[in-house]
Amino acid sequence: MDDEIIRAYLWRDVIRLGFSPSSTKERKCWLREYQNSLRYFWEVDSYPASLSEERGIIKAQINCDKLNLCLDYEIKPNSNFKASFLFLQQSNVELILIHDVDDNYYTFPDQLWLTMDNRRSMAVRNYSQDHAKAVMDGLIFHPAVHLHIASPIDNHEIRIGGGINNPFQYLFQLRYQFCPDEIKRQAERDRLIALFFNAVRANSPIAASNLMAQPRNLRTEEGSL
Amino acid sequence: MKRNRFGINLDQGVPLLTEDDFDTLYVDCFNKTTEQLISWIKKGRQPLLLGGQIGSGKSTIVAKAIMDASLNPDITLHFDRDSINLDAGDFWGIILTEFIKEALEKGIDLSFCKLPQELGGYRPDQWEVLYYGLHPTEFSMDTYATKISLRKKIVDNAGYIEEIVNEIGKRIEGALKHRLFILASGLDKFQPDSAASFASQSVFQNLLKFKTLYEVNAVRLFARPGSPLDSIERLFIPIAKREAVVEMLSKRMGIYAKPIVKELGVLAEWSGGNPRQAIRLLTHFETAKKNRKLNKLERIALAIHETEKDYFAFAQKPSDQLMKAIMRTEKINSSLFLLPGDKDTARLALYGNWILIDEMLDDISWKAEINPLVKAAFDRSAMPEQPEIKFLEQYAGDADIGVIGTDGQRRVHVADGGKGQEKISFEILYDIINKNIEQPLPTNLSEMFDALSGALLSKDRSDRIIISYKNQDAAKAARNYLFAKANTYEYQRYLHVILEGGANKQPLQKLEEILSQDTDIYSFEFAGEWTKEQLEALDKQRDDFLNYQLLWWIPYGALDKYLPHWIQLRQLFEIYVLEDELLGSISIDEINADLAFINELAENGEDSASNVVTNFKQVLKYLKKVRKGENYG
Repeated sequence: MDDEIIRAYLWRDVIRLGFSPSSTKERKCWLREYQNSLRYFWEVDSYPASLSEERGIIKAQINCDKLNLCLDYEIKPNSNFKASFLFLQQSNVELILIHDVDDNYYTFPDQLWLTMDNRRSMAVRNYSQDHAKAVMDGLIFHPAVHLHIASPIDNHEIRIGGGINNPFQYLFQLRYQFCPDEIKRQAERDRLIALFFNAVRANSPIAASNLMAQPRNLRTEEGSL
Repeated sequence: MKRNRFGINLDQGVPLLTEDDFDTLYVDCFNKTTEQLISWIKKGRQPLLLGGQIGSGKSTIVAKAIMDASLNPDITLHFDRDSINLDAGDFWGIILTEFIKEALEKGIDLSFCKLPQELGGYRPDQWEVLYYGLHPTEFSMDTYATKISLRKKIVDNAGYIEEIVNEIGKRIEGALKHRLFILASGLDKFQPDSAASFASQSVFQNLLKFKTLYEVNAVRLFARPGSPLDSIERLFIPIAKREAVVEMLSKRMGIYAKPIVKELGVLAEWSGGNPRQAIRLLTHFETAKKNRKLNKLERIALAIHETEKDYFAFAQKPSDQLMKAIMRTEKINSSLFLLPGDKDTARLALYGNWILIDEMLDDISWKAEINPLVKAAFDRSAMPEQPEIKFLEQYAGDADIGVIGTDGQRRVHVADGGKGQEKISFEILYDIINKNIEQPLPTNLSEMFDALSGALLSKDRSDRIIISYKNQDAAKAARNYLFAKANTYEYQRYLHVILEGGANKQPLQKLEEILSQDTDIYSFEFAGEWTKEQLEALDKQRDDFLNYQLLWWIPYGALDKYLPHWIQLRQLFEIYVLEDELLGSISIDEINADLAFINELAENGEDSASNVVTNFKQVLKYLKKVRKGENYG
């Protein structure tokens, strides 16, 4: 079986098992776990603002003070999603970027193609660690299509994934991208690859609390901490 | 305390104690003092007084020196970990307890006397039973009564106990084959000229027989000629250099320090070289950054304003005359600290950190400066010349905040109650700072809840906050809201208890009892007429509260009576005033949204859910009541 096809199935499985909370309750729990995890993952002192929900639209804010960035996001009951990046000037707030997902417009139906192909079982049997690494890189750690903010933030390691229509995947990759510590990013990469590899093999959804857990084995040049 | 490895580590400036603390956060601000202390620990034979002002880093230096010297004290005496307002007997009780413990651990023969029988009616050889009687590991009515009874007998026989302690000390020294190394900590918590401070004198004198390291407030370094302390070698912790403070704050911010390096320089200048004050300024600055409406300069100003409120609101103010003299001469005559009955000037100013002393200039005077936070309260005309103000103006210029006026001075725009104003930067700071000295200012409720949530919403943190309120019902509703919010993020247990002070009441005993219970957040409501002795006893227990999340609810009218007695405690607490009108900013919609979420979670069978729902309903009920029955549905 072609590696590209295997990875296509794996790609969908990762999104289905990790980034697809279904009910409003599940979505809110996922997002609360997410908001809560940022503080520890980024090791910042501030506590995230709480979520609000009105007629099924969930709104919240992420503060990334140290980059002078703030992200307002809202998720609608369907797949519509909007994330606004605000840059905080010394005395005012400037909107610099909006990531907008509008499912009223056509996008390539990758799931439909895979369903028609109907070879998931075979693909799962062929999943390897290398496949998992490649897929997780593409989804979270180094999206093929990405943005760099050239100014006022000058950090080439921050890659804001482009073309992502799943709001939870989008937020999750920002969690990784805005983490400023390379050792921690590496440890998180290892953790997530193992977590998803096992979950996909078991075809078992990942609880938000497990997804947002903190990496434990932080490797340094001298060894483990 | 759990530390972030590369990120932000803010606390109230608690001492660094563990290897992890030192690896992550330590900056050698006082290398000469630390080296001298290490040398004394390794080679010294005579007692040593280590003196420093509140927040200067005494406990951290001691911990660091002990670690580097690889020599732990044989006995550590904590004089600040007892709930009783100490008298001489209590001091002896603490010493006796630790001496017995060390003797038992070293297997020393104690058959020279029958103290267990004489004090507790035990068998003469039951020293271990006596030890646990003096130092119960379980809290109960019986163990507490036993401890009080034993302490009373010690008080009545202090002279005899002194002899016993000396003999045990000699026997331990004999077994160790070196000088008995004792660390006497917590003596810095006693206000000069207080009854407890006086009671400690005989204990001080007795411990001189051993190699004792006394950790004391700087006030204690100025001993009257002929007093027991006069002849002891002493070591002083000076003001930290600005560069060292900047480095310390940078470490606190970890990888996030770089974008605010200029701000850290300004905050260091306003710290006066006091490490804990610097960390508090940084903590408030980080909180102020959440307010998007403020520009950079205003955030710094707010941090200064909040820090000053925490440390000095309602504090007993030294005389203007003294402060102006120090401002003018930048020194203080050491004889001023020895004036009998001088409670209002030099000793108070030094103990309360109104002034910061640096080094001995000659036999009679010390280099001194006014704490930058309180300068505005004394002499406005001197301010433009002050370095911390110059730093701020320089910072505003570098950040290009404001415009240069026709008079050549920079003016900045500052939001003031919703109305913009044009003022000169240092004037704005004067206005802000001056408001604080006499009374605390109410904070915006949302800010308060942000800060409180930050404190409440994680089991990993140990924050302490005083909430002062004018309206009992409003306080109750806010409390319910906060507890509900706390449980929204992660389920936490909280305990709310009313502590009633006053004659014939035992609030400290009750406090100790509650703190021995296992919960996540301890909330105490202060009621009754607390006596001066009760308030001061509470002040000495500061370090006992380091590991707890505490919320203290105090009626607004009582705050000005309490704070003057809490010079130590206010170093750990942040103070907020709850205003009725601000309570209205908790929207019904927000509560309903949270309530819906909590109800959903309750389906999952979490234990605390019913509490949360009950609290939310109470808040709704209260808000409807104060809005005169208007139906918010």
